[in-house]
Amino acid sequence: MKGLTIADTIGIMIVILNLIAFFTQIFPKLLDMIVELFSKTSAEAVSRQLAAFITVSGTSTYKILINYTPSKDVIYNVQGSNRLVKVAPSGTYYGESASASAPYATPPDNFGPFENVNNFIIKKTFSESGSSYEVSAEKTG
Amino acid sequence: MKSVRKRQGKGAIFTISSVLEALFSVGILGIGFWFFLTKIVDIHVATLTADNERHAMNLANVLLSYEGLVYERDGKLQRGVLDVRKLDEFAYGGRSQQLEPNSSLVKDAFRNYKKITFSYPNTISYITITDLENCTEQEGCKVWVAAAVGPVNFDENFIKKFIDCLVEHLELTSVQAWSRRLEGCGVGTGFGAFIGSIVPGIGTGLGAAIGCGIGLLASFFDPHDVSTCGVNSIPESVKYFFTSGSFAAAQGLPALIRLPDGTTHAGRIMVGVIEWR
Repeated sequence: MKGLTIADTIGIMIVILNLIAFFTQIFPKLLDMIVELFSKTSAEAVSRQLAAFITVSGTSTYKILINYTPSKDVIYNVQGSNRLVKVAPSGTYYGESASASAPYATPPDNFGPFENVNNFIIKKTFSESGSSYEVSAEKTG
Repeated sequence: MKSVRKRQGKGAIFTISSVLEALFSVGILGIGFWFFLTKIVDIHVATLTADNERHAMNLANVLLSYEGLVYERDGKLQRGVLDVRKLDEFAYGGRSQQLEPNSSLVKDAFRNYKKITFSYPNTISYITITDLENCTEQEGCKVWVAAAVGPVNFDENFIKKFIDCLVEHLELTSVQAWSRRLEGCGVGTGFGAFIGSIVPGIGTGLGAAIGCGIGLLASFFDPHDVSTCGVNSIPESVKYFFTSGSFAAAQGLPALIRLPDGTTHAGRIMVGVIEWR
């Protein structure tokens, strides 16, 4: 009977220790990772960033190359049509599967579609006929 | 002797089983958490930003580097230095004390809007460039006004956003959704039959059928989903207005205006963006 009581007490203690370790060490890190994932790599954030990068490339008076990788783990399907960039995560990442779109103000009017990519390259070059813009994408990492 | 050893080992067996149970519980908790986050919950990230203001400032910045506007020396574009000759081609020039929406200069600019290289989709942008060193008390400052339209994009407007959101929340397969629909049909049948029996020419049967149809359609969407979709579809500029109490005002960006004789004047470029998305 004594052995049984001690075993139960030890078991409960281990459970409590496990839970303490989970809620103090693992859970905050997991939550932090998820919040970071949403704030930096959600389709909404990526579409806004991408649209902003494409637009601000127009402010350059010399050739410019912008390289943007929101995450090495999250991959996206991206398309630009009529100056609207649409971003959809390629799969579900912690509940975030919704696509998002954001407008941009400079050419090209259309680009893509790019599938399963996580690195975006925005290029502005100058030639005798004037400036030209190019958006491309690839998978890295 | 054997029974004493057995009794001694009993505590150890219980301890191991308790530890395993505890680890199993933690594992189940972890898997449940992971399953909840990846399979059950559907999170939409929504951020409130002053999109109009942001777009106006971005566009003003882009125009300060636009080869169709800025002064070029030795093949190099001089950012922020606007060439008067290019300005005359790009925009309507005139003098104005105050640029009011009903002034003839603004009206002319809007009547003869152009599609410039830079503009946001589903927008009309009005661009004003003021020469602050070329002003008279009677006529005001020299200004150039232009209006530009962006490409039309039917994928991005608040009505489509609302419908898309509702379709996204449409549950066709779940038992719960179908039970709600049957409930809707039942309630509609009752009401329809009652109205059909009162109104001559309809009849109880037809009234019940129409009632069931309406009830069925109404129960396709959860009222909470409809309200969430409605809130999420409101244009951000309107949301910003309701949150901040006013639209953020663009004061414009400083620019230099280069005259044909080589002198430069201080000026400002202001861009306003009217969006319907």
